[in-house]
Amino acid sequence: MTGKGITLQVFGLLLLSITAAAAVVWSLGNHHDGRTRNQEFQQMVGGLGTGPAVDLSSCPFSFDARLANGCRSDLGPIPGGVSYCREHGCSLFSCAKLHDPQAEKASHHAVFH
Amino acid sequence: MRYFIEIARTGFTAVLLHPLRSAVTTACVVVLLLPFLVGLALSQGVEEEARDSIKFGADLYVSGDQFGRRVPIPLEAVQQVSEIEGVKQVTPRIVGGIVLGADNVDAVVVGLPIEHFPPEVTCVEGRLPRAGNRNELVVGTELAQRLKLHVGDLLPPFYHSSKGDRISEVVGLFDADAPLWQARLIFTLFDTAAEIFNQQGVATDLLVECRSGYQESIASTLQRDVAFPRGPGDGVVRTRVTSREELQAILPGGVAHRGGIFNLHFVLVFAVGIPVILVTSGLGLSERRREIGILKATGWQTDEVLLRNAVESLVLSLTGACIAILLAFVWLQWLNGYWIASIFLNGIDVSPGIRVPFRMAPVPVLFAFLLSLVLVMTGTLYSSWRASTVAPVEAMR
Repeated sequence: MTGKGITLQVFGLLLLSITAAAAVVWSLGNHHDGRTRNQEFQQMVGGLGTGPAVDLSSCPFSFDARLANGCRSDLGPIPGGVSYCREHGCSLFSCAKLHDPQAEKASHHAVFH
Repeated sequence: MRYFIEIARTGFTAVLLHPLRSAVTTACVVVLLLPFLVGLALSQGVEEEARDSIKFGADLYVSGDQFGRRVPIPLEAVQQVSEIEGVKQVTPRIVGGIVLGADNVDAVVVGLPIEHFPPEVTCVEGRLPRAGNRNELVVGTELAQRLKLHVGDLLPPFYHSSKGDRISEVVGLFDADAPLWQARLIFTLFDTAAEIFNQQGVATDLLVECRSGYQESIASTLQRDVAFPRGPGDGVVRTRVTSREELQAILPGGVAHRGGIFNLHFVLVFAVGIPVILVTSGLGLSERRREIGILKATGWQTDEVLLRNAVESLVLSLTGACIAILLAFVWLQWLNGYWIASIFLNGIDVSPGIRVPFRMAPVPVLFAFLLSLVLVMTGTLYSSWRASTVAPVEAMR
């Protein structure tokens, strides 16, 4: 392989790395409009949402930790026990409990349904 | 130094000597890293929005508690809580789930008193609900998309209330750029929400704003001294208080958060990745063995062969990681998490009607690069070492 080919390869790799770094920096940037909109929305509704769900149908805790004490599908201290709730995004969004959830887990009327 | 650079140059050459092998190895790295990076970016995005939700929410959330279960709190509690020293404002709120339409679409109703509404908002297209003969609603973007609702649409009664069923009007739609929890939201007046659920005189929680320095004393007074009669024969409702600090503490963060992610991807990446890359990059590749045999026969030492292959692995893993980062960015930024967002965010459509929140933090990105390096190195170095420690004649056979 010629020296020119290697130079091209190095430049290509550098360009790829810089573009990837730029994407990361861009996504971290302070998106002022988005923050203002978030603030406005949250102040209007009094603070709503802490998890990855967008409704209360199967796991209110995944929608907002303020609305339920724990996940009803939390199977406890078995390997992957907390991952069985489909709304926890395969444990990506696991979240600690606010209070002892035992009583609430048994109930399906923690919030209006 | 020049000696090492010369060997490194041969590592670059090796990448192009077997273009198919290099392409397949890079593709394997991309396939393994892409969902990992997208999941991380989404979870960071949701976490950031959740932090805003806590930061801009109330100081204390007070709900009812009976026998350890969460129950609605009577509206008489508003007056009682307001009288506690240090309380600035108490706002009752209703949050509940309903099912709408022929397709049984789940929605979340949030009702607040009109006094709590800001005079002007930019996150709503249209206007905020007002008191009147009709129920006025502001609807989330996903819900509007599913039910084909527009500003000005009238909805026939979708609930039964002891006060009578009323027509509802959509007076506003949430902006798609508002936080993801607006997706299935119906925002309305407190009284309208009470009618929708046919639950008069109760709220799901009270939002308490405290004067500076009073938060702890108010929380302890509420938990210790305050209880409300629910009705004849129904006993009393005690209060359950959740503070902003408690909520901040439970948000997934740091090591525990990464731990959850790693649980999932550890199995995928190492169970599938290493054998795949082992096969594509070295093991069973007779050309590679012959190539190493020739190098050894022409005087190359084992450490030189390994250095050459390490550079080759570095180039392949860096290429794979960079492509995966760029694809993750494109998928989330320009394709708005098409399909993948519905996997991680339950209830979101395949083509999300909201602006999917994401944030690609440097630490997970570096971790992804390290992971790809480990994968490719494991795949190539082991087989190279095996080939370079046997006699050249044997390796070339």
